[in-house]
Amino acid sequence: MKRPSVGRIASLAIALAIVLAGARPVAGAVIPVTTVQQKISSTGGCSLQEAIYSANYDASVAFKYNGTTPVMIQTQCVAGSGDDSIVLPAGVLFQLSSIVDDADNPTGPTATPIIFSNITLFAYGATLERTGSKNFRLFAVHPLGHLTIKKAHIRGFRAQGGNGGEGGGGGLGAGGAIYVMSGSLVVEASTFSANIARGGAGGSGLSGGGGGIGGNGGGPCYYTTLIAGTGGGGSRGNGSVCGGPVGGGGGGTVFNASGSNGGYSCGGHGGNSGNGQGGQCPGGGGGGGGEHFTASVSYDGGNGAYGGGGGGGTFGGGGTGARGGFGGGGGASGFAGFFGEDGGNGGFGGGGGAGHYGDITDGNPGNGGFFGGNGRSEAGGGGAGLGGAIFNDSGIVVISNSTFTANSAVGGVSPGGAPEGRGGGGAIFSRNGQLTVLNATINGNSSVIGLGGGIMVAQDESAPTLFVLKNTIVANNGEAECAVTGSSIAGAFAGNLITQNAIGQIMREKTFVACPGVVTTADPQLAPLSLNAGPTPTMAIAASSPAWNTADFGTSLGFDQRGQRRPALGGVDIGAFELCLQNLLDVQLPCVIAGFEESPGGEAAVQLTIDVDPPGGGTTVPAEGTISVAASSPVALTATPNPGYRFTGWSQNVADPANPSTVIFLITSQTVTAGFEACSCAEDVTSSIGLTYGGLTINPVTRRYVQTVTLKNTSSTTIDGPLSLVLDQLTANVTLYNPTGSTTLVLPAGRPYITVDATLSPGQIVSVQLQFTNPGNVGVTYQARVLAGSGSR
Amino acid sequence: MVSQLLRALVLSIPVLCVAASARASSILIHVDTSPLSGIQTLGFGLTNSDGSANTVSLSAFDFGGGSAVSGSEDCTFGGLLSGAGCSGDLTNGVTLDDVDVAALFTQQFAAGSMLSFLLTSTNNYTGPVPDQFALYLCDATISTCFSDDESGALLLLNLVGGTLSPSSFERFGASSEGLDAPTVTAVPVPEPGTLLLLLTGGLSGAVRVRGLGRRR
Repeated sequence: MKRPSVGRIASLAIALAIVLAGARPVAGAVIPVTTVQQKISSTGGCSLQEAIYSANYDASVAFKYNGTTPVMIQTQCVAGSGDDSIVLPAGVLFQLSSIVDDADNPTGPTATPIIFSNITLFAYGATLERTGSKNFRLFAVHPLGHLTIKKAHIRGFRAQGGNGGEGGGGGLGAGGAIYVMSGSLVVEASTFSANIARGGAGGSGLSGGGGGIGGNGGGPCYYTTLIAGTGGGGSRGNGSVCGGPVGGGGGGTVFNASGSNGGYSCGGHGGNSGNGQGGQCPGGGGGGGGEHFTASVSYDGGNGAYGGGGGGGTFGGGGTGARGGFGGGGGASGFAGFFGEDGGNGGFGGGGGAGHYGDITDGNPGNGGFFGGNGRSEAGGGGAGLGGAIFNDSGIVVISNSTFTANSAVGGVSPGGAPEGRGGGGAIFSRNGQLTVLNATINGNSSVIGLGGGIMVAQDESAPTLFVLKNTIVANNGEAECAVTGSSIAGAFAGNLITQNAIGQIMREKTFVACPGVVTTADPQLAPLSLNAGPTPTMAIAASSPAWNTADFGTSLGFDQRGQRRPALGGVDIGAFELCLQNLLDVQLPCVIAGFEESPGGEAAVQLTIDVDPPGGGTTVPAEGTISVAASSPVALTATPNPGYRFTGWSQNVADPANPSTVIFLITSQTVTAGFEACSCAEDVTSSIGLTYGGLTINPVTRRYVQTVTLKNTSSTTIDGPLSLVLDQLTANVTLYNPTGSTTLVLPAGRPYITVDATLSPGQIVSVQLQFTNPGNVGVTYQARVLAGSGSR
Repeated sequence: MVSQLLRALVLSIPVLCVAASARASSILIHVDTSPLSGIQTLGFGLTNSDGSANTVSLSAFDFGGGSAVSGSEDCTFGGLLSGAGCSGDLTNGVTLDDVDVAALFTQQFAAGSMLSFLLTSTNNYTGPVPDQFALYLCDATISTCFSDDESGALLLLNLVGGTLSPSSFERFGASSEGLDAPTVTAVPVPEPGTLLLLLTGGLSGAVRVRGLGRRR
């Protein structure tokens, strides 16, 4: 194994040792991702999650949990080997809707396993998007990990701090898309949009656990007249209510606490006639204090570990609330009687726990951590929201030629009246460590009730901190959109456009000063985010923009986000977009992209030859013949049968031979053949049909999800019916309730379809109503295709 | 003097017209519930299918002589759903946020002659499948929902972006119960900017009157 795992599971280590016996990393492997499905299984190709496991463990394995037991699964991914490259199919959309169970991740809910290897992700313009209702980010980078991302569009991810239990402080919400936990991250030619980090809400009352970085503090716990404290939230799992007279357990990295038992893993146990146990390892929430049979004795909550909230103190005896770990909210004190008790302090970004004012002396509410709200009597402070797109805790982050827009950092509220958390770093937040931003466009992000809507850099006392900002647009991100706080931050700055820099604002006892190196404060006049000829969307400028030809020539990068060479038109532009056409009306049109197309394994070209068998049986994209492609780069393949034929499969080495739309990765030159055979089959007319999707409705009686899909003939010829809407890649555990049948001859086989007896003239429409059984109430997704004619499906 | 005032008002009309066009809208939903009697259930759903955040607020309930049954409100659909993003009641108003796959609010009410309420909603869309709001009218135990559509809803609203208007809604009747489809009308709500324009229009009219008076 090339990297020491932080795994805590002996059985897992033994199993890996068996798998990896004799395996010695010699060079980086190329791991193609061959399915957009979010899965961990032994079939169906290699998913992004499985690819990261392959790179982390240098083996074709991944892990799932059977209860609290990790189960190792052989995957169809290429095994990692040293410093690996993960390759996504070019330009595809990954829609991620669930959280991976990962005991090693103390940073909260994440769609992929925490990275503790050296991985370069070649996205080739792929979009990675959160869907559904759950809150989670895309990537987390462990202190041992290094992640490089090239040409990705990452949008819509959400990190939500855990809410405090009764009086508990809210947890930190950090890194809406990516959380760097002392590791390193390099981002090149990528776009981050609409990602959110939101702090957890502070609770009202007493004895509640603090929120963790993702899990909620335990709720109310009434046992007898005396009340045990509840557990603090873990990095993902919730703290629990009490287990009888015993304090509630703290949440874990994967599961909620149960009764007095801490959640798996790392959650502290609730106290049994004693103090609550602290979080046992990173990600664990502290347990709540136990009850005592007399009100004169008090027990305290246990402290949260990194990412965990503190446990609440005993109610009645007046136990002290416990301190949250990094990102965790403080636990609330118990009811005190004569002598007040203290609430726990929040960790970095966590809200303070509630204290209780006694009849004779007052307890002190807990203080909030950085941008976290302080507690007050019987109310916990809100957690901070930091880093809408990227949160860096003491790691190394380098961002170049990238665009950030519509990301936001939002502080958590406190319904009980304690101060709310504050938002910081709507796009990027960096604490200690190093942050380098070169030729980026950071526009239209926000920090809600906070500062640093674009970038915020913060230093703890004299911790080593470096900040480099060059040739970057920071505009339209609100007040003090570029804000720095600290006493000894090293840095280098040049060629920046910043419209509303910090000017010494003070917030939560921190003073924020401006980002240096500003050449203009004028509005850059950016066009909306759109594809401007590059692999990822950018925000174009026109020649009237103050960013045009005003960057620092000596420190500008040689290419822009799209691959357009700098300088163009006689100078270098600030931001990620280099204007390359004179006509102002042409700024949205493609330039001649002179840039490089980097791929794992270098620039070596190989030959891809595509044959069709039998000739005339169908067509392919790319067309039949031989083309040159970069080695190890993905090539999308599509086979379309001619009328009277059906597709029977690809000959070799493609990701999914039975799927007419698949990808191939070439290490050496190859020939791949698309097979067809004559049959009386329905014709695939998807390219001639425009599909409009209605929303999903729950029928309250049948509990089925109902959706109307409209099919419109967008071609100039009549499409003869009947028409069948086929659903591919339907969400697991979701079933089409009213299918007409499932495909057999027209591949992929086994896919449900609904047939309507309609013939469509050009422009004519017909609607199809789908009904889904969805017992888990998960998001329903699928890929649609349309078959036409009277032949077999 | 009267003619001067009329002239001033005429001169002010363009300004007032501009003011009148700058407005945001709530939507008034009205259902004739006279075919119903006794306890029924009113339900609202918001399903979440794309990456855009949306919020639907429902307020100003009028039961036409009927009333809400206090304490019967439910945001979990009997434990089927998490309840996240669903809050309120038919007395104080209901809010649905798309923070989960689906938010579903139900509460019983004693049917009167009609049911009406105001709907305001964001309308954010990134697609391809839109978020969707639904109105349900069901019996007391939700064993039957009154609708001619398979969805069981009387009203559907796909949040596909743009400006909401009555034509944004799909409406269904319930022929078995003799219920007509709900009526949907826009209710103009003056924005602060509108008030400013109205004030400007009024002031310009007054100044015009004073000016004409002085010249005379």
